[in-house]
Amino acid sequence: MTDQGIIQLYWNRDERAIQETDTVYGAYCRTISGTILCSDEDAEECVNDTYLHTWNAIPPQRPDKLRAFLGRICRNLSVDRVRKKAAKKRGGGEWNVALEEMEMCVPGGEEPEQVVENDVLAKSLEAFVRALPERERILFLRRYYYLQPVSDLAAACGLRENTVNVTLHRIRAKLKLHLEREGFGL
Amino acid sequence: MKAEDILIALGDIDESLPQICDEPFPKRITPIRMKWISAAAACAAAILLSTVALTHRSVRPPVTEDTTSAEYIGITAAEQTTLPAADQETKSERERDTAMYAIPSGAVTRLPRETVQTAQQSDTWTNAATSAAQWNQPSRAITTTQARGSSLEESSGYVKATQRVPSQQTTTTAPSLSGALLPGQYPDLMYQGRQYTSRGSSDLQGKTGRSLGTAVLYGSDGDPDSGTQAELFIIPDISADAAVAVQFSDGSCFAYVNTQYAPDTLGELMDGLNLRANLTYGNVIVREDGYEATTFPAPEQSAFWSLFDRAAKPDASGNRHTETVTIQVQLPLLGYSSASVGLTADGYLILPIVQPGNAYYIGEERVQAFLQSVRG
Repeated sequence: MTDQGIIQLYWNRDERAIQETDTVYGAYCRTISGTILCSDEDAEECVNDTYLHTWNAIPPQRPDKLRAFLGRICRNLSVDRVRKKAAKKRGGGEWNVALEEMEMCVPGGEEPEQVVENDVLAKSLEAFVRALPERERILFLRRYYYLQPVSDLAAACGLRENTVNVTLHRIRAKLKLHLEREGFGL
Repeated sequence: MKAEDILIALGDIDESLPQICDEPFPKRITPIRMKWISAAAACAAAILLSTVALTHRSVRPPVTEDTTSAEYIGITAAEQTTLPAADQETKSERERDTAMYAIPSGAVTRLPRETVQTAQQSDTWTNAATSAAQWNQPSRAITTTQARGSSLEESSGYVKATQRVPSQQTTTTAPSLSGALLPGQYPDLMYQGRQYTSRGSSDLQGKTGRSLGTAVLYGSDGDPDSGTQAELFIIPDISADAAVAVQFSDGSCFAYVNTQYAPDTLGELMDGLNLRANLTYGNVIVREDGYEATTFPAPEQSAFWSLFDRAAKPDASGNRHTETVTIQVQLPLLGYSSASVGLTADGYLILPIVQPGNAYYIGEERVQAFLQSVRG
């Protein structure tokens, strides 16, 4: 079934929408969630939550690209879950590693704990990602959006792990500079 | 700002941006690779020139078995003597290697076989395909899906149980009728001029009323020879105009609903489906700002049924209604295990049971009164 067909089912409040979503995008969502959570059981629950959120969001929303829409919901729900796990010291997997890596991007300032509006930061990050060359953009998003482990990332992109690490390090340095220029460290 | 803020905010960037990760990872063009590509381009140009020369040749030299490859690329008999001996090669190998001997000047030079392979960029494509396949990782995900079978409902308590079909099959091959449940194989029924559609997840075995006779159902594959005969029954307390039970030859029995069933008022719909007895409801989801939803527990019976204004008529305007409140409902007799009733801010009740998207105007006051009781 096409995206538009599935979305129409959601608008008609037809429960087959969830079945069709799972048929077409179930594997995709499980891959995103499984990568972030490193647990099939948690991933399955997260995917079901993704369907529930989608059911609640459509209508009124009518996404242009259902795959991207589901991907974002699934990613954010998985991140929420992995943060809770990490807070309870029950394992945070790649989340903890990615956090450590990202520490170097936090601009230094007089108020390191300065509260930042999430949407303002998101807009700035979006501009930064758009400005990256294609290869770097893919590596950055795979690593920090989908939290893909460096070893998997290297294998998927046909690169050596060292190359990936060095490239990511350079991107993070660029990001820090970008955030400082945008005034996040002031 | 903390590092966590950055990772969280990344989740709110334009959702189409991360889709670039589905694309094959682009190869970096190094100076060495550039040199190979240039050589490959020269080879391609040579082949083109040779072909043109061959086409315009007025007199061809006699073709012998030993000169086949040379003849194909249009070199002279004298030049043939400079070719390396090909005694150990088969004819097809020699034909394939013709590109190795051609350069634009017309002289005969041997280029390594790898150059030609680089020209075809076979390694680039292979790596790209591998990259895409690894990212999409269909095998692991499908295994998980199959292993978990049809237990969505068990894990979430909300999503309805369904018969799963692996994604790989549904996107690449036409579904086979033989593997589906009978309602899936025969989704449509024509009875007394009305078209009924299967509700595959219902199980009405032993719950049917009087017989309505028999009918032939045809398969979803469009094959007119694949019809099957089934017996139709009344579903107790449900109007046959709205739904009937279909019993197949193996004894299984499923509900089929008339998706064009459109009584004049909401009251008639309630009577036709006996909603007061058959419809159950659950949580109420209220969207405060269009996206973020707040879930409230199931309200009192009186509050829920107060929404059903028996005199309300279906909205014939054709306008699309945007619901702001969703009430989870179930009508298991007809196979609706996770349906919903919607309410709009402008006073419509959307009841997508049997006929999808039917909206009834019940008034803004009823909706507001319901919301007040839900919020306590």
